Amino acid sequence: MKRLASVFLTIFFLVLVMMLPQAGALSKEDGSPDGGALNYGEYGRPATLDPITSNDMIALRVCELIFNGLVGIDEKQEIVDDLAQRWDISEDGRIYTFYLRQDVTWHALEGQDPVPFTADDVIMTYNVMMHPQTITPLKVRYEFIDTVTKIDDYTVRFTLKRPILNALARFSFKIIPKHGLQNSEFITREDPFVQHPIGTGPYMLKNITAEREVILVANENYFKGRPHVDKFIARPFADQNIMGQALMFNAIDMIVLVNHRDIPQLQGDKRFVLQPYNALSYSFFGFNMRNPLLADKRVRKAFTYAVNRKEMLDSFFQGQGTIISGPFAPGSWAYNLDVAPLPYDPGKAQQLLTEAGFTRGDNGIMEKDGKPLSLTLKVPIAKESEAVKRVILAFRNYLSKIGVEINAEFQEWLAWKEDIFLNHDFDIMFASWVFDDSADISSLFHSAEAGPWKNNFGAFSNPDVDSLIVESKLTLDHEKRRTINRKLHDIIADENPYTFLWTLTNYAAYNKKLRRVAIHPYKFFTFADGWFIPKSEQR
Amino acid sequence: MPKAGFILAMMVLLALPSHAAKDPFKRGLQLYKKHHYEDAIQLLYKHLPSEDKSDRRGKAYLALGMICLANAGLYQDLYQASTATNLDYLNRLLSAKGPSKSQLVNLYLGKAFLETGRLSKAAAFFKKFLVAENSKSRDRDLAKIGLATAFYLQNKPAEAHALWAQVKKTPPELSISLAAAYSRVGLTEKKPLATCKTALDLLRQSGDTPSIQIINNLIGVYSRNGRIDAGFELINRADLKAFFHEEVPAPNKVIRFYDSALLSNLSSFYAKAALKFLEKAYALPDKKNKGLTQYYLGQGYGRFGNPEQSMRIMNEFISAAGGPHRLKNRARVRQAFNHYLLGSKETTTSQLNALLQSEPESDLVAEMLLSAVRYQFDAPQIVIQASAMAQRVQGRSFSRINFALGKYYLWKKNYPKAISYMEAGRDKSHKNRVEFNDPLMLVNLAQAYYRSRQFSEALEIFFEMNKHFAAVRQIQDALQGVYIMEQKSAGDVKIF
Repeated sequence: MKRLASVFLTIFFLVLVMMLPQAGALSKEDGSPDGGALNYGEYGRPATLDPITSNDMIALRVCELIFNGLVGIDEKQEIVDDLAQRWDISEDGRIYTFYLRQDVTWHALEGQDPVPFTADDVIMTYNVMMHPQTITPLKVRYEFIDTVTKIDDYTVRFTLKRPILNALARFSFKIIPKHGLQNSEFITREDPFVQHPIGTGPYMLKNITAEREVILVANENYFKGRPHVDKFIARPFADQNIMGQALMFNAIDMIVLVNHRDIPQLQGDKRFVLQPYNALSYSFFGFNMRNPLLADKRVRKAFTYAVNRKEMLDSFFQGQGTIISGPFAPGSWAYNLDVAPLPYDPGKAQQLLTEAGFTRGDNGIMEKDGKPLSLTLKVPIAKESEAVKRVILAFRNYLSKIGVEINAEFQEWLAWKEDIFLNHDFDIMFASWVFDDSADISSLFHSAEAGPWKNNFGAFSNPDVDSLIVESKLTLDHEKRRTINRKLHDIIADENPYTFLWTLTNYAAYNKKLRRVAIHPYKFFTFADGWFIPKSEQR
Repeated sequence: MPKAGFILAMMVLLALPSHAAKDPFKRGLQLYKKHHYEDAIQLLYKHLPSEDKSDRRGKAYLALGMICLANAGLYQDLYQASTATNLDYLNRLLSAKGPSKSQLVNLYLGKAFLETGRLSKAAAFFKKFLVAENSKSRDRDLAKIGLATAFYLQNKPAEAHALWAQVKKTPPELSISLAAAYSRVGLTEKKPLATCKTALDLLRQSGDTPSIQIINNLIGVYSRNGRIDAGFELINRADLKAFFHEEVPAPNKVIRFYDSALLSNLSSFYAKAALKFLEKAYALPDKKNKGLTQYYLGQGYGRFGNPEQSMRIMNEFISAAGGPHRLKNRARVRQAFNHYLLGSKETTTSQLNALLQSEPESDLVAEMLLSAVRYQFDAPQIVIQASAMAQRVQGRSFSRINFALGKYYLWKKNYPKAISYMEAGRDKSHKNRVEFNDPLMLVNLAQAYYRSRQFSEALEIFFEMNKHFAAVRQIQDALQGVYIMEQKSAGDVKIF
């Protein structure tokens, strides 16, 4: 009997030891088990993995796992502490003082001791972001800051040029390490850091495989407690159709954006959860207004009139979306409900082209001053789902009916980004924008944002839009901002820099083995450190 | 419960001989099936068969009654959504600081509180508006009408009459507003209907089109006076998405105001229309549709303020030989809540318990739960049974039981649970489309999202709904207003 008791006692202690966190690891102590891996399907490969030079959703999701901001936003949309444990705001709303956590270290490189996070990192991040040689769409968002000062190693003070609405939320920008960059003054896409980022977040980059899978492992020293899932693996799929199959055959555990064709099947399959999340997004055909033929808004509008968006939405996306009229998503506070989408009217399209001075050439293509309306349309291969291919084909057919020749080119994601954002070598492009709740379109349509790697890739320029964007940024009055955005919507819909298409329904799908999943509608993985997989379902 | 007997009703009604798929009656029912209630009502009403075709006319009345009942129920929930959102928005506007503050916010808070029966608060805001400088004479008169109504309802008739007497009788908008106030408080001796007719004639002579303020008031007056024809004529030509007031307190600052009374008036109007049509169908010697007519008439009376009549009609329906068992059970649920409305809670409890013990189908449990929530009647046994059923059933019944549970948790302010149930039952292939999802469910889901500060999800639902129900615009506008004030984000945008 004694022997039996001693065996039980030994087993008990062994179990106890196994349950203890690894030396140095910070447990979340929320009762959920650690372990397991999460393979998630992405629709492309991120170009860069740092939060400053990247401008796509794929990188944003990875960055959300690797980095932290001074403040964060919780599930109830409240601003919460992150790298800053508290803050003071001066009465005039111009001085923001952040008191930083003193228990945060940067992801340690192999064989090196972890480096502590300090005020120097915050100051360097801001300076790098704003440096003229750093090319980033973030710059326009932080012009409201006048100076940043280090008070001590764990206190930073930002002085604003003027008070602005929602200033505190803007301090959620991700902080990068002073010791991480090759050049501590600015960052370029050539800096090794953009492929090997170091952060403070719940996950650390382990490696990027030859297939461009991004493998992240749990940060044992994460200051909010070790995340539960051991590994996150981002697997790129050039074809969304295959991604759905991969989930159904358990090759992956999660899809961040479900192909519409797969929704009925996934909804009927009890192994998976189909979770809607409302990213404020829309798809569009964007015009390059550097091409003189497209500089005339009548031509751009003619293209929009010529395209039957409802037919495309119904045929290719089973009607699972909403046709839009302007530069905001219908789920946004900024959407102008008075502006209706232009109707499908090929006659009107033809009339506008004629008004713009085009006549039909011998080959049936419209031309002006001897220049035919023959245009290149560039589409990223990451978008090459069957539905997108059909959209492109339909677009080409609709335009051919009004005498416009479209030469569609599908390009690899990175090459496409270079052609659109860097070289501006395109006439028309197909893409989608995703916004956070602020509905800030300044980087998209302000004329100052038309340079290399900036978001105004089509060089749209309208003085009224510029001044309204500036006024919108300056005002502290919500209703005024709302009115201005309604006006912006109205003007931009009329200027037609894009053929605005639709907002599609966003669903994530995941295997039910994943528990306590909460998804941020924009950043997606914000709450991923709390997700877990029960021991019995870890593999 | 306008949808409960839907399948049976469709089967019976579509049994009508018809020569062409373009038959307006069949088209009307197809529109109803797609939840395009107003299109269906317009079509059926326009093509009502002549008096000599009593069989066809009876079915048309029954169909119109059913659809109006569904529409009345939908506007009732839209009204609840609107009052909540509108009040939130107006309160936020009120708390705004700075020189370009809204003046009209006090007037509209007065209206909002008057509408929800908080009379002292309503009076306080109307008074606040009246003491402010620079307000327009017409707006001051509207405030006086509102304040007087609040006084009257607070049992202060002298003060009310004194204020009403100060209101100018022109333009027609003011006289109609005054008439609507008299109608609302039951002062029939003031001849509100006649006043409206005179004012409307004046308006027509001047070539002006009725403003939304006029339309709202007229719908209320027509509804109370049973003027269904005039009401339909008005609604068919009205732009129900129009704003009531636009204020420009500063350059590039435009605030729009809406009155949620419009949704409440529309609900009452459609309820009145439903009862009128169903009463006509009931009066016809149409034995084939008698049961169905009784059932819907009983539902209509019960839902819209006449539980005694509902009890009588439902007793007739239940005790009649034959008839569909499912509808009879639903009629029993109605009866249980008629008892509740008439003050006999014990009878309600015992009748519901009896139904629960009869191995009810999930649709019946859903109906019991939805009724319980409607009357804020706590019945934990129904919730337990419904929750268990939600794990088992499939198809349309799955949606219905999940909706009922979602609505229950919305009432209980457990918004994550409300969302989780309603999302489970939502047709995700057609997420926001009213053709594939019960619009009542969508309104409640939008409410749950709104309460969880997931504004864009709520806005998307209303955006799609607005395509078929124009008056939804007032909820969208208020929701956008709350959203901008609540959102906390960094101004990020990415390509994908």
